[in-house]
Amino acid sequence: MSRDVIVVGAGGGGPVVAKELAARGLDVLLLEAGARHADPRREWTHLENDANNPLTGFLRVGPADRSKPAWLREEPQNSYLLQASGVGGTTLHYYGNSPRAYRGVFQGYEGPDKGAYDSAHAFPFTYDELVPYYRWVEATLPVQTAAMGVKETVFLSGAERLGLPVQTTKDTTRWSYRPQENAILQPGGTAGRTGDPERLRYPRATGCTFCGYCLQGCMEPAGAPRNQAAKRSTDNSYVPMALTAPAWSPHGKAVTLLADSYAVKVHTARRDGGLVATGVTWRNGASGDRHREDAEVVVLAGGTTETPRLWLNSGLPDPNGWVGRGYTDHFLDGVTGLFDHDTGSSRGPSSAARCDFPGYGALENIGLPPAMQAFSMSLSDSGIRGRYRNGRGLTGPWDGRTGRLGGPELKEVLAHGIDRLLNVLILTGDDVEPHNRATLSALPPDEHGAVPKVVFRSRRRTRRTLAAREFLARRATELLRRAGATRVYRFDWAPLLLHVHSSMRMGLSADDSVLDADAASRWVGRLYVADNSALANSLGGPNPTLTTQALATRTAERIFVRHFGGDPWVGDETPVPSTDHRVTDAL
Amino acid sequence: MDALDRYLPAPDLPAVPLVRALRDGVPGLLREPVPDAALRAGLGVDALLESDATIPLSPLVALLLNAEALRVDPRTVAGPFLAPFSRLAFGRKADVFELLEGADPDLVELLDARLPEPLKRTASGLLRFLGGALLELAALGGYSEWAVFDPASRRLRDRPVGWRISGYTPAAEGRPEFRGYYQGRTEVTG
Repeated sequence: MSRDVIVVGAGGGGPVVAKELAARGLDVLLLEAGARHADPRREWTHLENDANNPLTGFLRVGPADRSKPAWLREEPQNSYLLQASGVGGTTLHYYGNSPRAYRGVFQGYEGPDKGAYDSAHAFPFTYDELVPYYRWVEATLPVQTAAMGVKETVFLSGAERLGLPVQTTKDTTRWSYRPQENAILQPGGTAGRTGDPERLRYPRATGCTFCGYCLQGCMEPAGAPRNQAAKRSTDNSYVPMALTAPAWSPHGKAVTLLADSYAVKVHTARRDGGLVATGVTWRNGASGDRHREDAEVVVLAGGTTETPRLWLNSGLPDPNGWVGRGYTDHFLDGVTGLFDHDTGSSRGPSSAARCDFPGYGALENIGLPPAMQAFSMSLSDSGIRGRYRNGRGLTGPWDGRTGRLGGPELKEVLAHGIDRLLNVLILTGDDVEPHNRATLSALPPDEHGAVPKVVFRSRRRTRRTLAAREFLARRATELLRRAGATRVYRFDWAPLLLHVHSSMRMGLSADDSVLDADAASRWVGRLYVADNSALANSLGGPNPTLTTQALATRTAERIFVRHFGGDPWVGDETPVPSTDHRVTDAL
Repeated sequence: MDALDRYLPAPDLPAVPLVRALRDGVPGLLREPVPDAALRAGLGVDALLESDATIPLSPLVALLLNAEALRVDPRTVAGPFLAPFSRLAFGRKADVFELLEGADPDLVELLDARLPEPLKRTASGLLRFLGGALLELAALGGYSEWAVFDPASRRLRDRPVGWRISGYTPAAEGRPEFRGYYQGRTEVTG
């Protein structure tokens, strides 16, 4: 069988390409390695171990059948790779935070703080080039100004006292603070106004119900059609649109979605003197059977760790050695303050307020239920506080040295009250560095070939990356103290790989990039990448999903024009929001 | 534990050489001599190597913890509780993790010498990863609903201890938490 386009991966980026090209009438096959998650109300709970256990949780990285083992990924250092398989990918557990990237990481930026960015690895086009695609995605998801809960009132009260201006635009042009722009529907009706489950059914309640379970997948409000769920993970937004394209697009053709289907090889052939992608083989997780289909165009969107793996296991060319390299992760860190009053930390959408420091990165509040709270306080490259420092143990305006809370101290801090603490997440604008990479492991292969290995030399990052993280840790501590924290802990996290980017990066130079400015492979024709790995860099710190989705929209448009003789549409047409009643009715 | 043990697809390759290396090499790394029979019993290696079954991951991890426990205090080779690591007080357990995260150069040298290609030089990464993951995942599991979750009904048999300690109140479907919009602004453009 031959398709117009095969998209590998139904996470944050793949469904965007699939939906856009389905709307143009192309025949699109969308492959997803993990579970379909067709009926969350039957398959999911709000429970943390049931959802997030890395080996058995319904949001683990593993086959659809939860009785089968999770997939092994090698990490030869203290780090934690937080992947998720299944339709929706990591948007299943993301917080919907949808800021635009900083201007300084794009070609042509000439601001006075130009030297503060990784301009050697800038995007190969200007920021203004991407803005129409941002607008298109923001209207499609849709992205809305976040409503506040108690924890946002606490965070924002601290931010106000940092002497920063409040930002009232989508574009970030200076140091500022604001409520998040989130891919979460604003609360309507009874949502956010009651805890009574009988009164929280759709359509009496619409949008975010403030349940506090963004990390466990969003299925609120109860009774809502899939495309009306509060958080706009792609399983609730782009995938429903892709499956119902004929209902809302005049030329639409429904996407074929196959879950539990792990792509194991990209096929190529020589045509007109060059190498071109011709199709994909995948393995069905339930039967073990292998299937192959051909296509005019292949789009890889398995993620920053999985796309290099598939590339290398397929024997695709890597002449400059940059496949898998330049892996960035925002060098995240956690700072937590203890308060003597209610902070509402475990309640409401997980992150709804932020501070931006272009040139350094960003801060945002994150609310967590108890198990993930305990996890976040146990992750460190600085040993166990008061016991050993692992060669680090950083000092600063926080209390004591950096380090994880162990045993008795962890219990003491949590016993202070999950809703009397406030977490600030540090998002560092980290530099592209070739030695941080995804490659293949020497451990025994699994049924999909050699397993991926993610290598981070975290203590040897660039001076700029390290300085930015320290700057942000100090601002986070100051924010918490000004908000009223009586004690502040900084953990000095080991790499927590959940904002991951740029391992198949697009770039200005053919010497240090895999993709050209259209997200097309430099060495294989008709082959594109549409996940976070295609990003040129770490965006300067802002959360990556919106930019990946804007870029994937642009890539879909490029594919349609270049290979199918079509015309561009972004800027000329009005996008249909994923909440449109025609999508609802067709589901 | 079952899921952990089935995690590595073909555990014999790294596991058997690691167990043999620990059996043969740990005595030379201890501060005080320990009778060989007591050490082998303390580590439980013979049972692992005599079995025809593949060596699961969990006893391998336990073996590493117990080997490091003996490095921290050779007297833990015998005593109350079942194994050397469990015989240490909290502070000394932290010493075990300091060695693992280090990563303990003596143990790395011992393990790397016995690992076959292409796994040579992977021991330090393994120890560093375990040093972090064991603590993080123990915290995640310990403060979750895991111990009181009934998989058949997908309901809880009791209130999880982590919820009790932290004063956590779960939501059924939502919470009366809405506090309006900052400065009354419900949308931004540009």
